[in-house]
Amino acid sequence: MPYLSQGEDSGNRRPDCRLAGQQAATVCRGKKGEEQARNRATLSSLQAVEVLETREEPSEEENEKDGSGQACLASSHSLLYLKGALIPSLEYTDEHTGQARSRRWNRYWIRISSHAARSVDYPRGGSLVDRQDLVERVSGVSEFGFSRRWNVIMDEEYDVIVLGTGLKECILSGLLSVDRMKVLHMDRNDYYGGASASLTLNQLWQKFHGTDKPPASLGSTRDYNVDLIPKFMMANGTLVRVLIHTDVTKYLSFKAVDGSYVFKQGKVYKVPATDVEALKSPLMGLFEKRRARKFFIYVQDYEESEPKTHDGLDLRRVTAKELFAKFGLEENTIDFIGHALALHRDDAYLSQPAYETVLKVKLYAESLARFAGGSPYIYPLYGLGELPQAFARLSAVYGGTYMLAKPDCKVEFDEMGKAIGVTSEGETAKAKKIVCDPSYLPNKVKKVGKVVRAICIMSHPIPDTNDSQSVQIIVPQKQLGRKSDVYVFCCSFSHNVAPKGKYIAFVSTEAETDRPEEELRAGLRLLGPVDEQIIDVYDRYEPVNEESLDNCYISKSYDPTTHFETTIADVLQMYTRITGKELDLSVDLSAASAAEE
Amino acid sequence: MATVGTNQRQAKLVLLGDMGAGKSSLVLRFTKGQFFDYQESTIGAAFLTQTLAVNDTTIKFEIWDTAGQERYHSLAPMYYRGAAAAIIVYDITNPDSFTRAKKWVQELQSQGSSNLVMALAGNKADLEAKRSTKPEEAQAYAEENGLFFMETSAKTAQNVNELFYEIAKRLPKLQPAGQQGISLSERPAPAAAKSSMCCA
Repeated sequence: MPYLSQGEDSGNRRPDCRLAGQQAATVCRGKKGEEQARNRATLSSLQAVEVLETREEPSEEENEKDGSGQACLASSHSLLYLKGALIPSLEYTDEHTGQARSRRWNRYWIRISSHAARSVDYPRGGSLVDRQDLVERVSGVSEFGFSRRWNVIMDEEYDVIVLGTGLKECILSGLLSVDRMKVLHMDRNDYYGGASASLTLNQLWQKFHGTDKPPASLGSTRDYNVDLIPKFMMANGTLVRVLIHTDVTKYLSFKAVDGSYVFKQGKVYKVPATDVEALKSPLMGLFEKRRARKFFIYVQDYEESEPKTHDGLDLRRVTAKELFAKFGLEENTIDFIGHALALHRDDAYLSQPAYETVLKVKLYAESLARFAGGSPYIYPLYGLGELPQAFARLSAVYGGTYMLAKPDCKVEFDEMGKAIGVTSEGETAKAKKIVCDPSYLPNKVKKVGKVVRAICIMSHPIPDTNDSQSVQIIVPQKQLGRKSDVYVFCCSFSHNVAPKGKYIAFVSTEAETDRPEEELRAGLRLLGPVDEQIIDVYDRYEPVNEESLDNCYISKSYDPTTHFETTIADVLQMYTRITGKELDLSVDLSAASAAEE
Repeated sequence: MATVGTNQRQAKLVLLGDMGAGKSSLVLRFTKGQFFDYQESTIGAAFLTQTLAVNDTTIKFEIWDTAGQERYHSLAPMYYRGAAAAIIVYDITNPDSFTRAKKWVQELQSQGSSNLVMALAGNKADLEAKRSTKPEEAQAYAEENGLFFMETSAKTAQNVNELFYEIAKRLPKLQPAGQQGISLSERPAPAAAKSSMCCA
């Protein structure tokens, strides 16, 4: 802090402010003759006290020839003028007496760094405003916005530094900024999205083939937005609630996904989610349809608060397996309900209480009804890479600072092993907490699995899906004699992720063998011929650190599922661990369901 | 993202330019008729909307602000996505801001759509005494690069409405049928919800 050191020069006769969070500012009284011993003040509001206006303003300060008075106007300092009503008074500690004092000035200059100073006019009266208070006051000034830290430099202290602009990190960054935390968000890449970016064709080829020359037959590179982590959003799912809660929806446009299918004995079938659909579904035989219909009616009617809908079953005790047995459902039916409707990734849920499964099936049915599409899923136009960008914008709108293409991003620790900041390009930014994806702290994560997936570019929709331009097919593990499901995901020009006539399909699963490519075979067979195919295998990591000891909050790698429910669960848990509070989405639940009507 | 309705169209407009050039002030003058000498830099608001009537059409501008992401060159591609118009703002008293404005034009040409209406605004025209960029220079640059140019002052309101009217007039009469998706935040009437599905 070059300026602070000037401020600390002996002989400085002007009051000197120290800002909360170790920012420094100098407050110079403009009125000459109001001599004041050197004071240190805390201006906890400074984060929000900023004005963009730069001006060279002659001032009485010029007459002050002592060190910092001169510096205040010499060179290229910008003087910033703050609206009067914002800071009624300033609190500071008198260095001579050590007493906390409050002072009201008519006019003063604040300099925050070596590059800027500002003068402040405000009326007498009032009391110290804290940051929140100030933010609220300023936000009342102009609807277009209020002030942002205008002099953000690396040598500052933040509440949180977020590393990596993957979806999880961006949601957290947005939520924390909205909570008025001071957030610095960096990424080593020069694009948003990290592991959950959507790539152009050139970027995709660069990543997997080491050349940015894809075949010309595939069309224009910019027409492609190929997800690295393909997933659909449940129309009434948690991610949608987070989007509505944060109002990020306004940056995004969505379209329903055409179809939701499930694989059974070599063929794909539309997933039936309601009693009516169950009766029509070729997935089940005549008698099984009726049993399934009864099951769906039970689920649709079930309300935990209304015991008469429980049919004598306590779903918090009865296991899913027992519930299915009560309706006499066959194994194949249980398979699609558990995996394609409740979205369980393996069969462990069968021995768990049925409550969660029933809620998930209800969520599926409600989501399906919401937009009257062919599936319960929606997907953003231009691909999932829009989501991290939208949340990053939210964070920026609330004062978060964004720096892309920052190499290294090395987390710094003190001797106790607590994270204290991040160094990049020789500059260190301090922070109380670090939030990052596993790639930024490889020593604090362990490998928990491996995902294998195929990215395929095709010129036709997936066969037997009613020519769906976007579709999900779930292949329950049991159908293939596996431990985990295989997911097929297809999107196309209809969601603006490929040129007209082109489809992008993904087949992914948790790798269970050391020949993971072969594990995708059953899924790939469903696609028909493909123009191009890329196989990618990546390791999944989970954090092993003790957050309370090292202040590092690390997200889990993305799993192979083609939906967001697990992703958002991780984000919400991290949010609670970081802030100590739960994100209240219940209000938005009702808002979301109101929008259905 | 301009859409054709019954003589009502919506157009996304993005602002670009150096910090302090007066992007927010221009918008505030246009949308609210307000000006603050010491407008704080922008936080907490994503965009404003303002409707303009041009001939028999009303155009609803959805005006996006950079939210400070321009600062470390971290503007997301999403910012340019679907923009029908862009205003590149510089400060006539600050030569650097004019140089940077040219960079923003290049960025737009590589990121934005090809039929984007681009306006170059030399703001703070009220500070004639401190002028560093001549209007002739900016005009020549604008002509070479397919922009239209105006000097504006958010403080005196000079040319502010004119700037937006000119953009509105230049918006293509018929935008190519853009992809319209579901808006999750709005509460669609049942019929409207259905019609938004028809393109799916």
